[in-house]
Amino acid sequence: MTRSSTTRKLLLAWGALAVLVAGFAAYDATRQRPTDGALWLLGGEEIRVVGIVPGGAADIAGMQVGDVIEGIDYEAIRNPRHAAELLQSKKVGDHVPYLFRRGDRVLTADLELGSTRMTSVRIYLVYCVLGLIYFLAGTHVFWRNPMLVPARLFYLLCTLFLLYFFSASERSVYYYWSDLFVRNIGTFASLMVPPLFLHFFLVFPQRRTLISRHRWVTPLLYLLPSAFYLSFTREQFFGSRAATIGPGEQMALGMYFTAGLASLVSIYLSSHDTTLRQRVKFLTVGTVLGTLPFLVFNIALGKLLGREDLALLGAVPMVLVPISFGYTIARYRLMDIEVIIRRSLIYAVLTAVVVGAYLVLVVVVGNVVLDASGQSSQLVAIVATLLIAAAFAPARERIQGFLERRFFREKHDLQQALQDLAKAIPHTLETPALLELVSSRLRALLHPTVLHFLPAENDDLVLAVNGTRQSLPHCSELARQRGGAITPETIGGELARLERSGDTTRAAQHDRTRDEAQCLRDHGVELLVPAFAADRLVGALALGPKRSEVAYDGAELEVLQIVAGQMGVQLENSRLYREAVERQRLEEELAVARSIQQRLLPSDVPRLEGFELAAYNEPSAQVSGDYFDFVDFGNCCGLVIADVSGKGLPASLLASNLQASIRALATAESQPGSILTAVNHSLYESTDAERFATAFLACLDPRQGQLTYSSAGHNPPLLRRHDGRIEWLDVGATPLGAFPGVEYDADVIRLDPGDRLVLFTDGVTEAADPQGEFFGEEGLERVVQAHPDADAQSLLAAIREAVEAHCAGLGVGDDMTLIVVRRLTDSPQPSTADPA
Amino acid sequence: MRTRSPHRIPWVSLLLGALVLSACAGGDGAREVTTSSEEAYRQYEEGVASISRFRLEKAQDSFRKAVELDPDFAMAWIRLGITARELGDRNRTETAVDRAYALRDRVTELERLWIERTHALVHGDKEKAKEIYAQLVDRYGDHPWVLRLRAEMAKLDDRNEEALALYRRILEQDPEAVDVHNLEGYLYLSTGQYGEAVKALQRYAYYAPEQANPHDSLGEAYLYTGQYEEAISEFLQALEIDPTFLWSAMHLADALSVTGQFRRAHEVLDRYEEMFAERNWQQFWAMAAMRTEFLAEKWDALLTESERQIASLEADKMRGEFGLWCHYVRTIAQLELGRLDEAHASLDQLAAVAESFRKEMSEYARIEDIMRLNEAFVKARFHRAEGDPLGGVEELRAAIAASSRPPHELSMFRYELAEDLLEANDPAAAIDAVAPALQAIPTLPMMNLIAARAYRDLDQRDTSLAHLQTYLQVMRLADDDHPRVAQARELLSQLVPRS
Repeated sequence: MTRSSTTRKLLLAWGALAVLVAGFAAYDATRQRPTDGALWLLGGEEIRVVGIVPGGAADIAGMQVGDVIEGIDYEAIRNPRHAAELLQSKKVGDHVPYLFRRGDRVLTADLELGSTRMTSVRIYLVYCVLGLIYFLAGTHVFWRNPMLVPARLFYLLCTLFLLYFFSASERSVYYYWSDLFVRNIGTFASLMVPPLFLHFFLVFPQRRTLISRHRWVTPLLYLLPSAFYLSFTREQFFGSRAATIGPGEQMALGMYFTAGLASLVSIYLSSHDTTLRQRVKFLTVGTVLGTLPFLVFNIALGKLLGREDLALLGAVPMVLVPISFGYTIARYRLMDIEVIIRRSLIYAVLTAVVVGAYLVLVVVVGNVVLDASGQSSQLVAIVATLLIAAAFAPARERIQGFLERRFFREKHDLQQALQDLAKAIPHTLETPALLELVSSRLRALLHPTVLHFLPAENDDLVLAVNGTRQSLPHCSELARQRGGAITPETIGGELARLERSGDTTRAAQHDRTRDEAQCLRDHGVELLVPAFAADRLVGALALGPKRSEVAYDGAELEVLQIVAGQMGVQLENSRLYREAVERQRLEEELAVARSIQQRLLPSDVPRLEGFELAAYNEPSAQVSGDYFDFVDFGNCCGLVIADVSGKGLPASLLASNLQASIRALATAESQPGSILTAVNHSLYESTDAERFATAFLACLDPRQGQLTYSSAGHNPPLLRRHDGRIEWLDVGATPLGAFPGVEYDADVIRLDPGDRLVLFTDGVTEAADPQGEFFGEEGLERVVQAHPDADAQSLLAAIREAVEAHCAGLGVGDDMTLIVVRRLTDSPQPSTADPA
Repeated sequence: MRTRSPHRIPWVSLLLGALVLSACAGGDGAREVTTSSEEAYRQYEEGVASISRFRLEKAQDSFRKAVELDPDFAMAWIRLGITARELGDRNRTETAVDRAYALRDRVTELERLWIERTHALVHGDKEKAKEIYAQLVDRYGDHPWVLRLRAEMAKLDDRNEEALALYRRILEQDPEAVDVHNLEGYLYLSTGQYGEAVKALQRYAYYAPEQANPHDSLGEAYLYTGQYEEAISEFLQALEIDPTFLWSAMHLADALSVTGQFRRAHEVLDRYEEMFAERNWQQFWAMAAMRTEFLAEKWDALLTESERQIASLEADKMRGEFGLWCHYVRTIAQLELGRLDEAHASLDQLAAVAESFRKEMSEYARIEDIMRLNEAFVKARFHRAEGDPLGGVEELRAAIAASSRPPHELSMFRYELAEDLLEANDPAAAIDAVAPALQAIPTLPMMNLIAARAYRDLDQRDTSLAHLQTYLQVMRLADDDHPRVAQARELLSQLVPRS
């Protein structure tokens, strides 16, 4: 059992106890018991008369308030309890001699014991009615929303008012134990009502900062009245005077009421929330008008100045408090409370009144018409009546409609909310704004304890709340199957179905579905309302139970599904819109990237004596950072092939940067290793860590047939010697811009006539067939070996064809860049004497 | 308890007090007396209850039965002895008290001390009684018996506040001890706190409605405070409850006399004379009869009765306060009858009796106070009779000023003083003399009459008329031939001449 549940049950038990005590007080007050009609209270040994029941024995005998009873039935009274014992032995109608003191005189009187124990039955009845009204109002509020703190406080306040009003009539506490009990209950209630009144208006209609920030304030509120009660109790048993709530204490209690009213009024006056102001306006007026007379007539004049005869003037207006609460609840669903009184007596009576008035109107008008026309035929009368009834039917329907709106508030609200949302949703394209709109409206309408929107990712709903990220594929599937709301019952049914199947696969599915349901419950979710867009699950509204703890009814589920449907469509619209915008942005970016990339690629292949060069670049759909270049080193020709990480415009810009760096350094440096070292330093300093590039830089001396090269993590180029041997120019080093201070080495090889060198990017070797198999270095080697005599351009074409064939028309998927260098067989042999 | 009037002798008061104290001591239901017989104890309880209702003969019968059932019942013997003393049987008193004294070693210490003290008092050993009293207070100071005794002693010593405090303690211990309201009431009366006295005795009358004494006591309070109709009503109620309650008969005669209804007063006394005699209460009857004659100014009858009583007392060798009072009365009667020589002779006898009584009661300031007043009163009468009304004024004035007696007890002396002053043509001084009495008790008839006369002499007609009207209102049922009423009517005719 949860703590809340326990508290709720305790509060209900308290309410039941309060009703029992109030009932007992009323029953006991009307019991026929012999009484002298003089009220004397607890405390001390002296019996001082504090009240005289009008028409009672003491009144008839001329006893007065302030008299001190010394003897009853010829016995000296030791204490009030002794007096009570004497009276209890008597019967109604017995004559009992009294000895009492009035000021400086001693008087005797013969009292005929009566049975009237209340100063005014009429006033007591009014009090009882007031107490019941309070109790009904408080119980209704609590019943409808037992989890809400203000509702609980209001309920407690009303039960105390019930006890206060039922126990309010003064009675001599020493007659019977019941008198003592009832009076103590009444005193307890009258002492606890004021602090609870203040406490309630410190948390309602909104929690005040004072009570939120300082936890000690709440217990402090009850400290003083508790002390009063302890003092009262002490005086009952040990005091030397009658135990009553003194003027000072009354003033303090009055201050509690005043402070409570001030809190309410200040919220009403200071709040900028027009909705809140509207909600509490009537409540504020009702509470102030109801409580102020109580403060004036009951406390100020009654208790402090002794004008207790005016108590009724203070008590009756108190009915305005529950009435104003009742009205505000009905009108504005205060404290999340729905007033469903469609079957209530009020609705029935009002409907009956409307129907009755309608019938009377029809009959009266019918008679007037018939009299005026002079018709006496029954048939004519019936026809005329029907016609008149038909004529007035719209008016009746209009009045009935008004009643429907007044008393079917929740239904009216739902319809209104649906209309509002239907108007607002199409105008809200942004997803966060849409979610906020729907969330706020649903919260205001249904008051769920939890409300989330679960997006669908890869067709599965995802619960991403408070750091949790849980995919809900089975719930998603269930939602798709049902096409509507998923409740705990739905999931339970599904689990039962899976359990019954006995299939092991389904057993696993059962367990996972159960786990997902548990996950939802753990996050307070009770209801999932899927949102579809053209049969595609785009998300779901996840709702917890309503604060009122009333189950979602059919009308509400219907509204939720409509709202979710609208959301689905709108979310899909939103997604498509975002995609369109993104696509446009990408296309623009790609255009720029392509432009940059095209500018990087040399338009012509340099002509080198004894060598044949061919180059190719095929950009993918998403422009990458591949590029190749031929750089003039003076004596030799620089060959550059590079692959920049990333795609799109950033990669192109980095490639551009790389090209500019290499070209700039080539003017001062001819060693590929030194150039790459310098470029690495420059890139590392100027780019993010995730930005890097692989590059292969070679310097081809056509005269010597010598190739000096260095690599920065690039794919090793393939060298096919004229005799068919395959060599891979694997120097090995880290990519450019990835690490600082990398020194790049260079190797030197000699290219003989007939040798072919293939420089490539990973777009060649990582081109995948439909099965995902890469073309690979083996594929490249096969092609090169298969064309031993092909010139550079032919070999390049053969490689391209082979790669495309490998991809089986699916596209390479990445940039594909190639440089083929072939040393012609008739190219002049370098002189060994010629120094390189 | 029948509390003393100013005219009762102290030993009566003491013994009666002890009687009632003893009665009330056992009245709380707790068995605090030693006896082996349940029936004897029951008889003892009945006797105690009878004493509290002042039914002494019935009480005596109960105690007698108690000691027959248990001859070793010491406290029953004590009660029997005290009751016998109250009923005038001195021999039986001593026998019973001696018997109790012999049993003193078989009882509790409290009983023993109580018995020893009573024994000492009966045998005139006041020192020993005082010593035992001190032991009782020391050891049993908070016991109800001792509390009552302490209160009685405090009252006799004019320690009135202490006595009242002790009464309150008794009531706190036992609210059912309703007779304490009576004690309290008389104490208030004796200190002139009439309002409190009436309240206390109203309570007593309420708490003991079946008894005659509370109504009698309340009647006395009304009588002393000038509420004569209420007083007569209470006395009649007491006699209705208990037609043998002679105190009320006596007080009823007093009330009727004060209001000038001498014939009715005599009727009452005549009706009860036999009953007084049966009870051996002739002295009380005689005292009531002489007060009536005194107020009616029937000096011959007064002289006759006083001489008869003096002769009777001399024969029985009993004087006491009653004897002394008879001597005063005789002397005054002789003066009023103009028998100066006889009066002088009576005065000499009076002086001797007074001297004797003074020695006997020297420890009681109250007795001395009253004797001084009476002596000044008689002297003043002598001076007036000898044509020197101012001769005794100073002594009488000094005696009044020095007295601690309450206003109602001083009224007779103030009247005498005023009469002397008026005769000496000093009406202003006469008014000063009666003013304190009228302030305390505005309806005192004789005071109003003399005030009316004094104001007439001062030509303050309206004030004189007011006092006269009060007097006539009080005396409206007076006998037609009442001399003072006739005087008042004469005065009225002077003040309001008939047209």
